[in-house]
Amino acid sequence: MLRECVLPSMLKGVFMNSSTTFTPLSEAEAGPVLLVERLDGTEQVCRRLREVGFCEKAEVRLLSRGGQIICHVCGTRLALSRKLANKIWVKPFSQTHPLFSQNK
Amino acid sequence: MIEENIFFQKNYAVVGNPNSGKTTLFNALTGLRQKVGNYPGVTVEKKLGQFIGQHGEKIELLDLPGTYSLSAHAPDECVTRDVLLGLRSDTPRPDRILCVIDASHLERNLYFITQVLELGIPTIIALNMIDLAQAQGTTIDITKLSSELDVPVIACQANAKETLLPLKIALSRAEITRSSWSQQLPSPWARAIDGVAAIWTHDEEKISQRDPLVRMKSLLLLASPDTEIEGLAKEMNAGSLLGIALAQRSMLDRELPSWREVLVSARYERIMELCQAAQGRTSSTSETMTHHLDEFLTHPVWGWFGFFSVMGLMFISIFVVAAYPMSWIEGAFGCVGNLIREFMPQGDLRDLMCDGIIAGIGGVVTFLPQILILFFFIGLLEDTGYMARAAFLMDRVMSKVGLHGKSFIPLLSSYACAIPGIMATRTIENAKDRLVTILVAPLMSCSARLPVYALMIAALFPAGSVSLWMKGALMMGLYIFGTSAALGFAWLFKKTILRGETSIFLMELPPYRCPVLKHVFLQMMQRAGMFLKRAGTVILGISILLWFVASFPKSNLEKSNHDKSSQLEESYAGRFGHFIEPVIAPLGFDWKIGIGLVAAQAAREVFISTLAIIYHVENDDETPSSLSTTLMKETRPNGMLVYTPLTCLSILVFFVLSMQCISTLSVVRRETNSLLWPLFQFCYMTGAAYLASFLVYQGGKLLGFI
Repeated sequence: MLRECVLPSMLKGVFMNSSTTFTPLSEAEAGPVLLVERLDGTEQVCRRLREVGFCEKAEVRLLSRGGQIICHVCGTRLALSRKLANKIWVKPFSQTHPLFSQNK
Repeated sequence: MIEENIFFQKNYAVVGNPNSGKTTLFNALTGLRQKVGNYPGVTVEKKLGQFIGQHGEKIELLDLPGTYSLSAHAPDECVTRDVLLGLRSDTPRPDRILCVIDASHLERNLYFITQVLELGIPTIIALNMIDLAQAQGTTIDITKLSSELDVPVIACQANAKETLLPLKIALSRAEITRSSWSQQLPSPWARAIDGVAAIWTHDEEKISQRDPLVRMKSLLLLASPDTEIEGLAKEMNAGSLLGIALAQRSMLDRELPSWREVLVSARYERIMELCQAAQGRTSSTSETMTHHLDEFLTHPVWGWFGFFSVMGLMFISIFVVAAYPMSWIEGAFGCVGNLIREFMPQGDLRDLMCDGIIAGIGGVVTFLPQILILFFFIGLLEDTGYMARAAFLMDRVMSKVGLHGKSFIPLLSSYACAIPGIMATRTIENAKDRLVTILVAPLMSCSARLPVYALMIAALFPAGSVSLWMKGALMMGLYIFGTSAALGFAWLFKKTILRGETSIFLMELPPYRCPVLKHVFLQMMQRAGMFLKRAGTVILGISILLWFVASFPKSNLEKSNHDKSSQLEESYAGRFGHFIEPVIAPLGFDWKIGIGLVAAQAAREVFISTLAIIYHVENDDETPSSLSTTLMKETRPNGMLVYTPLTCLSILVFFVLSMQCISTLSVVRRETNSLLWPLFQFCYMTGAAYLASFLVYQGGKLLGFI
């Protein structure tokens, strides 16, 4: 079954080292390409997220952050609530990718 | 064989993601040759259209609801899945599929498209919005895409007719081969599918285990969530299916713990490979245009500025621009009435024609321009892509009352009419949120209230006393009042009877597009047709009935002196009005308004035609004047004016809140599949209307207004 692991914030450090940092999408940096690392939440929520493009290893760009966030995934602009964005854990994607490298 | 096939009718199902321009393409191909019906049992619109192919044969298109995936969530997505799997008895499984892809969002669209290809039905792909993709700097290698997916891929632009010819030629092809595309899955998955598929092959020897339909059915069943698997297995109707599926799932749990993730990510991995091969990107200009517009239009402060400008413009046009054609229509009906009065012999038939039919229908049809403008704006907002931004902005407000931004679109449509609004709630996945939205949708001021508002505002401010802008502002105030009431009740319901967590907010923001005016006008015409049909049937019927109950039994006095006032009082309608007067008197209404209110239970705009009939019957109408001036002269028995500002305001408040629409109640009954909810809706809205009107009138009187 799907792992339902919501990381307590104090445990976040475990995943942090010099090269990779996991953050929820809601707290990630806006602009650069991010990589979806893991999804939290119920089976149904995860399935919905994956189908619209937030599957593991998918590339995401955060565009704006207010009450809700807007991001760019799979060639589409998606708006989602902060609560939902908290369930999407991402890490920076430094390597240039053919789909996005020329896009900036 | 092929020669013969050319002339056969071809049936296509049109499928695609939401916002892929599927419906625009459908409209462009079929034009007005469309039939709109319903799928029995669910109120999802079934749209059939046809056009003539290259060999003179009929090509029929079935427009299926847009979806992101074959694993369906919302009721309309289930219809798409069930039709494609051949699970619906009312709709045969299509023999061909036309897939519409938004070329500017290739990756995302391909997820659903590759699922469709695996169904084993001959498929053609229409690569729509190719112009938009080019403007964004995306180049797509169509030959490569076509050979990788193993289907014909045809680029087109649904909004430019001249680009559709290659697509029409492709659709007329006699033979289309089935795609050989298939998704490789890890071995435990393949075994699980084999296990479930065995059920069908066991039942019927003709079906091979390799049959793509059987494999897709098995896959969807295995992947469905725990809460839905039982229902889906029953729908697929194969004996011991559920047990086998559950057994295979526990096998998957053991051998491939991440089986759910793998299913989606394996598909996306292949799509990414495909996109890298077939798609090239340079710079994006249109994307940055959308980005810049969004910086402003979704901004926490400036966004609201834009929102209120758009809404303000909409309501001012409804009031100011529509005034001209409305006066023409009113004049035309007046002319017809006068002509009939002149040429027909005096008698009951003439009275029925002039006072019943012409006055009743005319009173309602006058408001057609306002309804057209409202639908024009709603169509424009949807077509440009602004509607999604409005929903995005409103999410902040909606989340305060426990709903999310998606509920805003049904509510905004309800400004036009609660019926399409309530039907639009089908995109809301959470059942409780959907019910709350349905319950409060009729509080949004619909176009049927518009005639009542317009008339009462005209009676409140006699011509020339205040500027049109002031009237527009009052009109907007009424809309804001209705909207706040809807939000307030939504909050109340979410706190009490329909308590539940706010569901997830996830919404696509489509790129801004230039609206296709033809599409907008087509929609306007369809709605106007519905409105006129109602005016021609329900309202005509009620008008004749009302004229009858207001004219009979004939008063004895009539022969001696033409006292029409006592005639009305002694008629059936008058007696009934007097009967209910004690109940509505505290609201400032007299018995004539009471007749109007009772008649308006059928449909709100009937209130106007009723008043028109009542006052035409009453006044010796040799010099017809407009209804609002007649109203302003109307007095109570004690000589005081009936339509004082306070009474008008009380009527307005009553109409904002009350539930007076049989059609809406019947749609709610169908959508909720229960009698309880429409009944509850009727009671709470009418109760609130009575209470609010009571407070306004009695409060106003205490404060010294008359």
